[in-house]
Amino acid sequence: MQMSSITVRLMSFAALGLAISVFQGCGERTAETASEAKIEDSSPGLEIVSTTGMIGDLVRGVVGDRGDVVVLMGEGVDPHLFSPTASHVRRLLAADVVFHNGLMLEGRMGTVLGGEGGRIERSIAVAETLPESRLLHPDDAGTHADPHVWMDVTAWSSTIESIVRGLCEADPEGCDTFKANGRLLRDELASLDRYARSVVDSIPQDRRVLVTAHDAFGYFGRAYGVEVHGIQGLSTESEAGLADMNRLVRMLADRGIPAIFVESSVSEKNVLALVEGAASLDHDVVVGGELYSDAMGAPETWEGTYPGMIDHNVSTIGRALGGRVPEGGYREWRESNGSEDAGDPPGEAAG
Amino acid sequence: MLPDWQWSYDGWIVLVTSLVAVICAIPGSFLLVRRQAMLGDAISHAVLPGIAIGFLISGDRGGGWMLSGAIIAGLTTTVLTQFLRGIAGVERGAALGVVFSTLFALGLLLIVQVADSVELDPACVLYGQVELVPLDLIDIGGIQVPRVLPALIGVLLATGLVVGLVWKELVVSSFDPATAQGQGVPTAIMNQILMVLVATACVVAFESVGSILVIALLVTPAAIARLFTDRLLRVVVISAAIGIGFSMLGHFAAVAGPTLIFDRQQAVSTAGMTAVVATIALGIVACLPVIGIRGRRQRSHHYRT
Amino acid sequence: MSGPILATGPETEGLLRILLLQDFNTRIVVAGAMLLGAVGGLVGTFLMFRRRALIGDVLGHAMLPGVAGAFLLLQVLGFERNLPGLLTGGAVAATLAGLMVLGLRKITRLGDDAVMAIVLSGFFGFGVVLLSIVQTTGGGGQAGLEDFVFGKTASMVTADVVVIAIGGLGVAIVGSILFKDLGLLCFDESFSASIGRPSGLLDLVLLTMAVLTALIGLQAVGLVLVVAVMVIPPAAARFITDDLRKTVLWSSGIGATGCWIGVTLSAVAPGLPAGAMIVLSMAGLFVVTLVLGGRRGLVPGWLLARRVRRRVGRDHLLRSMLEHRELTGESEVAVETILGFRVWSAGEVSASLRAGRRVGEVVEVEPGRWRLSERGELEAIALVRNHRLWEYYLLRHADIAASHVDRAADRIEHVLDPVLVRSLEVEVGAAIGARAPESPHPLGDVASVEEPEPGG
Repeated sequence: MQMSSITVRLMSFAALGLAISVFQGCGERTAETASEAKIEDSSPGLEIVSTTGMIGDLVRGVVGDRGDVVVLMGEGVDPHLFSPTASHVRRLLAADVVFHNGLMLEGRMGTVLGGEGGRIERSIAVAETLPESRLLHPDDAGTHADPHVWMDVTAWSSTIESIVRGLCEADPEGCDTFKANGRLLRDELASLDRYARSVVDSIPQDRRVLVTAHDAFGYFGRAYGVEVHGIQGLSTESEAGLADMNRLVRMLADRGIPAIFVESSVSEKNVLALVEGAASLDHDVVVGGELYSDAMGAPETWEGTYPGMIDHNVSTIGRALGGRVPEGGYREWRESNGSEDAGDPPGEAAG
Repeated sequence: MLPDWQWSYDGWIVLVTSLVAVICAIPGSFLLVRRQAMLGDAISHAVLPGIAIGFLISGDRGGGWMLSGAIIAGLTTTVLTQFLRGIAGVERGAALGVVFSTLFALGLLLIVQVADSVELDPACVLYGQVELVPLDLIDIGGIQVPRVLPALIGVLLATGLVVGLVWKELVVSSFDPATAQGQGVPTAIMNQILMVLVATACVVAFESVGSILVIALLVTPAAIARLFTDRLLRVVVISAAIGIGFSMLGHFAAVAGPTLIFDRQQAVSTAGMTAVVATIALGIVACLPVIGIRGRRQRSHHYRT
Repeated sequence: MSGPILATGPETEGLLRILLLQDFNTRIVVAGAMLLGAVGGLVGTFLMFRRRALIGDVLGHAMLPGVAGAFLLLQVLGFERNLPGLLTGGAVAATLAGLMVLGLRKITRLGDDAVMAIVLSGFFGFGVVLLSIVQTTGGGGQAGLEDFVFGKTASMVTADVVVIAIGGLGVAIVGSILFKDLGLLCFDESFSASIGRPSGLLDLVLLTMAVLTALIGLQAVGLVLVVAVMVIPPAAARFITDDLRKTVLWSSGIGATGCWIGVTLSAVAPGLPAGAMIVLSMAGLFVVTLVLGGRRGLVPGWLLARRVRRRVGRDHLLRSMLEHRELTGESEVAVETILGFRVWSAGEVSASLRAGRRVGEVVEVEPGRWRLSERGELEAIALVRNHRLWEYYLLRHADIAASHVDRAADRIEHVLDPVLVRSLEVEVGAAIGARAPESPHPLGDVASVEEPEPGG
C-alpha cells in the first residue's frame, strides 16, 4: 500500500521531469516529440511510435526503460487534420510496434495503419480494442463510435491491456515488466478517475453543464455525469446554426450556468458569441478557461502528460462551475487523500 | 543521395506522383485551352455533398460509395457550369463559383443534418496523402504495389484511350466550337466526354494523393508548356514530362530541403512542396524575356492544333 | 410583446422572434451578414466584369501561408498567437498572390483562369508546407490554425460587425469614387487605356478592394461563403440588367437579401448552419433571376423569342401574299403555294395563318386557300413599303449585291423602330402613300434568293 502510493506520486513527478524512480526515463522522453527525436537512435530497446500524446504517455508508462516512444502528433495538433510527412512515415516504418487511437481519429493515416495491406508489421488501434459497450455512438445508426475515448479515464485505462499485449508480442522477455508497469499505471489512473469524480460531485447538481466549442466531451459527460453541449458538430467543416446558438444562449440564461469553455483546437469565437448573447439577456457568463480536447499541453509541463491534461480539464471545469477544487489540483488532492482508497476498484457507476 | 532516401518508400512516392502528373496532363491541357483552369479547385470543394450522400447510402466512411458520390458531385459541377454558361450565358468563372459554392453549402447542410456526430471532412475521409501511399499495399501477382496504383493506371489508360479515339474532335471543339459545329462535330457530346474525364481523373487522383497535388499538376505544367508551343499534342506531352519533373523535384525538396537549408531532419509536406516548385518554375519561365515577348505578341493569335 | 397574450403557436412565436430580431445573436448575425452581402455584391460585380470572379477563392486560399508564416514568426519572436498578427500575415500573403496574378497576366499570354489556378495552387501549397512545419515544431495553439482565421457565420460577435462595417464602408467609398473608371476598365480595357486611365493602378485598386472584402469576410464567415458572396449576387444581377450601375445596386441588394433570408432560415430550426443557408438562399435568388430575370432570364428570353418569331412569321406571310398578288394578280392562294414562297415549315405557315385569321388580316376562303383581308392588305402594303425602303437604302448606302438585299432587309426591318423608317423614307424620297415603292429587284424567284440558314 505504502509502496504503491510512493510510486504513483513519483510517476507523476517524473512527468514533470523532477523525479527519479522506476519510471525515470519518462520525463526525458516526454519532451521527445517527433520533431526532435533522432532517427538514428541506436538504443537496444523497442522502437515504439504512437500517434497521439495521450497514447504515447500510457505507452511510456508501460514500456518503462525497455524502449523509446516517439509521438507523431505534438502539442496542439488536431489529429483529424494531421498530415504526416515523409519523416513521420519513416518512423512508422522503422518502429517495432505502433499504437494509434483508431475509430477514425487519425483520418487517412488511421485507415492505412489499421488496413490489411499495411506495411506496418505491428499496429494496434487501442481505442478499437475496447468492448462496444464502452464506446459512445452518438449517431442514431449506432455505428461510428466517438473516438475521444481518453476523456473517460476509466475507459482509457482499459486500453492499457492492449498496450501491454502489444508490447509483450514485440518483446516477450519484457512481458513481466510491462504487466507490472501496466498495473501500476492502472492504479494511478484509477486515482485520477476518483479525483475527477470527486470534483464533479462537488459541483452543484444543476450546474453540471459543460458547454464547449465542439462535440469532443461526450465520454467525459457520460463518465462523470455532466450534461454536455457542443456548439458545433464533430467535423471541422461543420458549423452551428443560428437556432442552435439562440437555444444555447437561452439555456445559459434560464439555468444560470456561470461558465462555458474554450478548446485548444477550435476557434474560440463560437464561445465568445455565446457570452455576448447571454450578456444581452443580463446573464453574465464567463469563459471558464481553455480545455484540452484533442491534444495535450506543451511537452515538459504537467499539462503535457495525460494525468496533467485530465487534471487541468477537471480542475478548470470544477472551479468555473462552482465546485470544490484544491489549489494544486489533482496532485494536491492525491497528496491528502489519494492513497487512502487506492485499493478500491475504479468506479464504473456511470459506464 | 540523401541518408534517409529509401527506394522502397520514396521510389513509390515519386512513381505515383509522376503517374498523377501524366494523368493530369491530358485533361489539364484541355482545361487550359477552354479557360476552365479553376475547375480542379472547384471540384475539390464541390465533392462534399457527394461524400455526404455516399455516407448516407452506405453508412460507411470510405469505400466505393463515397468515391462514386464524389465523382457524381464532380460531374454535377461540370454539367451545371456548362448549363449556366451555355443556356444562361453566365461568365465562366462566375458560373463555376456559383455552382461549387452552392454544392459545398448543400454538402455542409447534409452533413450537419445527417451526420454531425461523425467526422466527415473530405480532407479526412476522401483525400489521400501522398506520404501514406507506400504504406497501403496490395498484392498483385506476387508483387506488393500501392493500393492506389491499379486505379491510377486504369484512369490513365481510360483517359488516354478516350482522348486518343476522339482527339481531333476534342481539339477542334475546344479551340473553335463554332467551326467544329460547322464541320458536324458534336461539340456538346465532346464537352461532356471531356468533363466526365476531368471529374473522374480529379476525384480518383484526390483519393490517391490529395487535392493540392492534383490542383497543382492539373494546370501549372500545362501552362508552362503552353508558353512554349501552340500545338495541343505538344502541350500534353511537354506538360506530362514537366509534371514528372515537378513530382521528383517536389518530393526531393520536401525531404531534403529542410536538411539542406535549416539543417533540420524533418521533412515537410511533399504535395505542398510540389505545388510550390511548380509555381516557382512557372514564375521563372514567365520572367524569361523571350517567352514574355513571344507570349504578348501571340496573345491574339488563334490556337492551332 | 409576449407569446401567451398573442396566443400564437410556438412556431409563429419563434418566427416572429426571428423576424423582429429579438435575439441578440440573430441581430448581430443579420447585421454582419447583410453588410457583407452588400459589400461582396459590390466588389463581385466589378470582379465578374473583369473576368476574375473567382479571385476571392484565390485570395482566401492564399491567406493560408500568410497565417501559418505569421504564426511561426510570432513563435520565433516569442509572442502568443494573436488574431491581428495572423490576419496581417494573411493580408500580406493575399496581396502578394493578387499581385502575382496581375503580374503573370501582364507578362504571359495565359488567361485569367490559368493564372489564378497557378497562383492558388502555389500559395496554398506553400501554406501546406508551412503547416507541416508548424505541426512538428510544436507550440500551443497551432491546432485549428485555419479554423482560427476562418470564422463561422453563426458565431459572429459585435467586433466582427464593426470590422465588416468599417471595411465595407471603405470598399463602398472607393467603389463609388472610382465607379466610372472601374466600369470603363471592366468593359473596355483598351479604350480605358487609350484615354489615359491607368489600367494597372485601377486593377490594383480593385485587387485591394477584393483583398479587404476577403479579409473581413474570412474571419467572420469562412472561405466558401466569401467566394459565394462575391460571385452569386453579381451573376444573378446580370439576368436583370445590363447597366453597370444597376448591376451593382441589384447585386448588393441580392447579396444583402440572400444573407438575410439565409440567416433567418438558420434561426428557424436547429441544425441549419448559417453559412450554408446563406449560400443556398443566394443560390435560390440566383435561380429566380435565372428564370425570371428581365434581361437575360430564361422565361422572359423565351417569351421575347416567341414574340419576335411570331411577328416575323406574320410579316413574312403578309408580304409573301401581297407580292404573290402583285406577281400573279390572283388574290387567293393555296397553302402549298405559300409554303413555296420562303424557306419555312408547314407548321410555321399554318401557325402564322391561324394567328392572322384571329386578328382578321387573312381570310380562309375555302379549306387550304387563303387571301388577304382589307385590313391585312393595308398592313401588308405598309410592311412591304418599309421593306423596300430598306432595300433601297442598303443598295444605295451599303455595297450589297442586289440578290442579297432581300435577306438583309428582312433581318433589319424587324429590329428598327418606326422613326428610323420614317427618316429613310425621306432619304429615298419615296412617296408616303398607301402604295409600296417598287421592288428594286425582280420578284418571283424568292426562294432562290433566300438561302437556307446554316445549321439552323
